[in-house]
Amino acid sequence: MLTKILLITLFLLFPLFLGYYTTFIALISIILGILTISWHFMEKEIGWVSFGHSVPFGIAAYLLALNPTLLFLTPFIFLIFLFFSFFGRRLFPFATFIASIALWNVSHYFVLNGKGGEEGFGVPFSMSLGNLYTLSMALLLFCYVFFEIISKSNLGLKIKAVRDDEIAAKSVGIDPIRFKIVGFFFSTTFASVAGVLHAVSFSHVSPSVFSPFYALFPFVVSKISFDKRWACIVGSFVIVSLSHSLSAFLPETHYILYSVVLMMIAVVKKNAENL
Amino acid sequence: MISEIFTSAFYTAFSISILLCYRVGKILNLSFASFFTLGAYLSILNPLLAIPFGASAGFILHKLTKKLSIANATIFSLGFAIAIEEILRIYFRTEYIILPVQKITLFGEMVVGSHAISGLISTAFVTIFLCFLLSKKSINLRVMEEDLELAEIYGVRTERLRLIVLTITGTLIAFLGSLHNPGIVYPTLGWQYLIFSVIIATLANIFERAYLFAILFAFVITCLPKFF
Amino acid sequence: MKILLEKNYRIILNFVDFKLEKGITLISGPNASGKSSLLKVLAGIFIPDMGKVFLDGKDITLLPPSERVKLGIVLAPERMKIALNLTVEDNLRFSDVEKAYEFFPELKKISKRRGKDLSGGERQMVVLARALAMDCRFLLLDEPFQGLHGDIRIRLIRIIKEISNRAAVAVVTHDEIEEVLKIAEKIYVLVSGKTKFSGNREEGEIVIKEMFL
Repeated sequence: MLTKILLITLFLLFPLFLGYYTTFIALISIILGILTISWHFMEKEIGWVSFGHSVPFGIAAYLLALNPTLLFLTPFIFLIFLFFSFFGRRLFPFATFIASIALWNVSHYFVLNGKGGEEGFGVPFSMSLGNLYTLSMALLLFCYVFFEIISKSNLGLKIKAVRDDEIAAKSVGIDPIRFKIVGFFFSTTFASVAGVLHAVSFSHVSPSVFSPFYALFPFVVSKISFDKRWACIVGSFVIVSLSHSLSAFLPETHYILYSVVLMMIAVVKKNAENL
Repeated sequence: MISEIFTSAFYTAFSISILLCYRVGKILNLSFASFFTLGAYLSILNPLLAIPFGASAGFILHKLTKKLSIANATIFSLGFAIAIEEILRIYFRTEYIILPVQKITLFGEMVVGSHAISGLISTAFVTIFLCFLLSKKSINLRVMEEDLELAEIYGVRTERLRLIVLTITGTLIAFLGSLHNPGIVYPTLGWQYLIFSVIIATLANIFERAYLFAILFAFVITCLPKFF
Repeated sequence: MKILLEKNYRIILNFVDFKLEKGITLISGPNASGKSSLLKVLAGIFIPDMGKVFLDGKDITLLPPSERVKLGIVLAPERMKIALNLTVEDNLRFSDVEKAYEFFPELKKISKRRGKDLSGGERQMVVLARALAMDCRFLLLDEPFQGLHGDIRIRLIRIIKEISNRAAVAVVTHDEIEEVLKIAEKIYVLVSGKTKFSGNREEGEIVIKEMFL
């Protein structure tokens, strides 16, 4: 694991010595990398595929913009996912996706009718790009190490036992709800951290934080990274760079990639449970 | 109130289409969002173009998803929806297009002309569908809703029926998109209509007579706020 | 051609060679030997990984079950599988309803009751009535005696014998083996997805008695 961390650190440090625009693109990749790793934990370890990780991401961003003291609510965002989990594993991806799209639409009205302008709500404080980059990088590394350790710990094994078979886990004294809550809490908390960083880096929060770009980003990155946690960081850089570099010729290029990945995954995967 | 009744008919047809695809076609058809948008864009040229395009999109979706599980078919439909939206975005090369809106007076109330037509088409669709449900021919549909394998054992051509359902509903949604759009067309337009209809369909699906409850919920959600 | 069928990386049918001809064929074997899977391959529910299914020399391997029904291949599935939200009459409407009531007059009294309100035995009668009253050339009966009481079992054996005069009937059963053995013309014994025995009644009876009775 140490070699991996070292290589990731070197990979992340490199853009810091390039121009302002490149560093900014790398910053966005890092933030979305945190979002992807938090999503990856939810899919791989807890066994729930979310198509709405933009929900904790966007809500945290909005809370910061409205009033930073409201951020104390972020640890409770997992309750939204807990509610959707009652629909069952098969409907969970679509319930979370529809929730994110609903928030995307509702937040348009919220922005126009609330105190925000066309661009959304302004964020009350700012940081220099270098400081924000360093902070985001440190948080990404922490997020990576945290989920690596959790996955291999006793707690991680119990979470996996619940993922594999809730009834069997119950029979050996593991409370499925408790470990599901713990898993959801970790995943949504890191997604919220990514949302806060995103809001600070753009200095404003617009309804697009709930858009399909953020909702489906972790799924697509994770799949093109062959479900490897470390590769999710590289995948995040690839998608963000591709999207920005091609935007001059073909706007919203990432959506074309999204559609291809979604259709391919649906056809290639043999059954829904493996998604 | 006339306007609300037309909107309620529109949402009934939309949510019945979602229910039909889910219960018979075994797919939560998220492509409806882009079928609606496709229809709205085609109305710039000619609203009737939405019919062949909607039917083709429904047909293609059936062909590509017929062997997939519900979850995989739904994910595919999401990818398909995004693909259609991006094709529209690339082809029209603009964020949004404003369309002329013609208003007419109906029973002393000003309503958008195309919305009135979409309301009438939706009402016709719902009426025909309910008549079909009451007929003996609906038995194939009902057994398919319950169990695809059993329907095949009973001799029901499930693949053909699924093709019919996906094509007809695809045509309907695209055509409604060409008529019921708000006068501003943009690639993600269809999602708001889809979400509202999915909520109605989900509530209705709790009940055994889901299609009838879809009518009720669409009416309650769209018309009742008028009274308060 | 011999049939190979795999499910979840487990071999269910291991190159089984099976021929169904006019008369009664008993398919026997212990649990999980692939008997029901073989019927499902014939009915088109399972597509074999290797091997082909022929009907009158025509390859029907990829034909869906509904198309096979039109060709006269009818399956009465196991586990009392009927449409639970449809009434008894609606379930029977996929066959000749009047003929179905002739086989099981008991169903006429409960024709308006829905599948989910029936007892196990009543459900099994619906399964059988629908299959027996269809215009079949090949009748595939999977555990037909399940849930039925003595009188109806005897009646069912009589009906199967009648139908076997004009059609090929395959019976997979754990119950009433001795009774079915008396009327069967051909016997297949499957063990762990392989054909342990295939042949006439006399020899088959010895194998089955050694193994199960």
